[in-house]
Amino acid sequence: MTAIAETEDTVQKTRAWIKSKGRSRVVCIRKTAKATEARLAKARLVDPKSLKKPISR
Amino acid sequence: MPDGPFQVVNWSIEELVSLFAKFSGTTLQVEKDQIDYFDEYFEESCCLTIVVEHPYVDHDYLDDYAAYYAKCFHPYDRFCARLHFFTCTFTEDDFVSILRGVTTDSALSAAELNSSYLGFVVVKPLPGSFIGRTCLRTYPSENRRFYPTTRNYESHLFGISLSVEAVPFQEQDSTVAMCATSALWSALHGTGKLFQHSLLSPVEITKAATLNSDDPMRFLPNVGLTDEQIARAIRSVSLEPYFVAVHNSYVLRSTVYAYLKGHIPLLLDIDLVDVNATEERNATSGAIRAPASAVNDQGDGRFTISGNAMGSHEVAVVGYCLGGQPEPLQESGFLLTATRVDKLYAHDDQIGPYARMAVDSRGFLSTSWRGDTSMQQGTVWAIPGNLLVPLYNKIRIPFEKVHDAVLPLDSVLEELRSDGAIPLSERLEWDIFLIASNDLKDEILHAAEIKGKYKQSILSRPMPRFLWRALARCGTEKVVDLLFDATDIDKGRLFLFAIEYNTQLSAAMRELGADNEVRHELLGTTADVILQSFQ
Repeated sequence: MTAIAETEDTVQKTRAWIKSKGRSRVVCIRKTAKATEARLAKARLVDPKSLKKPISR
Repeated sequence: MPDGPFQVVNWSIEELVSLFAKFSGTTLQVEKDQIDYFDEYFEESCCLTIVVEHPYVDHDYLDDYAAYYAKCFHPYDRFCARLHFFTCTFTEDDFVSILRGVTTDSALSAAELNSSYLGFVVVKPLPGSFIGRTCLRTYPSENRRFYPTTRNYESHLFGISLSVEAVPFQEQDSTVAMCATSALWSALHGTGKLFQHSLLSPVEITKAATLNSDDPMRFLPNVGLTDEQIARAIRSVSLEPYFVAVHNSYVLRSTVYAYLKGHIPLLLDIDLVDVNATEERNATSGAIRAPASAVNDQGDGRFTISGNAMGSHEVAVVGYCLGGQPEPLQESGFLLTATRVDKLYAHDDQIGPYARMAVDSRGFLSTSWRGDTSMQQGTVWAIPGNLLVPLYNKIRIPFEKVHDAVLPLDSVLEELRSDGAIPLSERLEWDIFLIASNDLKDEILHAAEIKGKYKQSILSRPMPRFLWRALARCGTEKVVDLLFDATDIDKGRLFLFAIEYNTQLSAAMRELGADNEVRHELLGTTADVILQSFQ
């Protein structure tokens, strides 16, 4: 397949994917991404008390 | 051994210990973990010769001396010694021939000395804590060890110019500097040239950290700093302290990697725990893990480690090892290059420069500390607390903002790929890190994948000084580079533009961005801004 034909094939397959399940999958993906963001944000959250702990070893 | 401004001696650990004892005023046998470190380091680096330079005036020690030691009743010396290490063999006569300008074919040359130079260690005239400014060559990269925060340090030995790529290290003197001061001193040496700020001596750091502090403890002799005080010292050189808690290995690895690759060293506070059991190795990957007997699963994805608490410590993280395989992120399978990091290299003032800390996937770090009671090495683990990034004030957008923007986009592209729409053989792996626009343009200029007008248009494009870069690879092949403005505001557009390497992926992204239904679901997100840029 030539590069142009390969690109056209990708375009057609992407359109087909969008038409068949695009919207519902994007909704689902956003939901999962938000859950991941929340989980990581919790792990990154700095406890203000920890900033006052002496580091002395 | 004759006394004089220099001596040349053959390397051996016994010789090094004897020099440490002589110049520090330590009369007893020197027993320190740093000695074990130097023994291993210089043996592995094939050190053969030491040149001793004495007396040597060290700026940092002189500041500490003037602020504290000069006022002691005991007459502490104000001069240090500096030990230079070489991988070639030569005698004192050979060295003298350079100083006398002898230029026979067999004579040792200054160029030979420089090419075999491993670096130097300043020995302070203080018993017990004598390891001063130390600039040593890093371990060889072997395409896995990376030390992006090193810079070139020149030392002048009686007119001979020697240079070494290093991040300076020194141990705490437990008087004007504790571990946090020493770690910050190393980190500020890394940011000093990068962001053009003044370099503070240990005592200046301790003073800046404790200035206007309401802490009732005395500042000198210093008993340790808090993260708040460290942040105050960082502000004193016009940088902004940025804290991130690193309670799991994904957050630890991704954050450390993202800033370190942007040449910014980080400070990490750790709690040391002696688990009284030796580390374990994964049978297949060889990864070092904390002993299962000491690890407790909290059930919410968090783990604790039990043992004898040894206190809190601070290290400067200066490098990483990409020795592992990427670990897919729990919910989505997102692949981040940073999860390949299996070891961090830290300036741990109680161990040595570039000290290896293996990353346990449950969030712990191995150390080379000896247990307080067992006195054994390999049983002490570190629980990471807060990571502190000393940032130039214009770097406003944190790593996580870009990471979270790429996350949903990757999932959509992966669905398309796994459904056969995008002809890519593997899932995309994202390399997300901070980069200066000058470094990016330098890379683009020399990149073989980008040619002609496209290359010219990228190079001539105005860019902010600092960018976040999310580079997607399929295997080893670059497929797309997403560039974000690190100087933007939190609610800003953030995304700048993409560099396209793969026409199929770009075509798919164009189609996604053109579809109103997909757009509707992504509206208001950075993922939508990215897809629109492909139109």
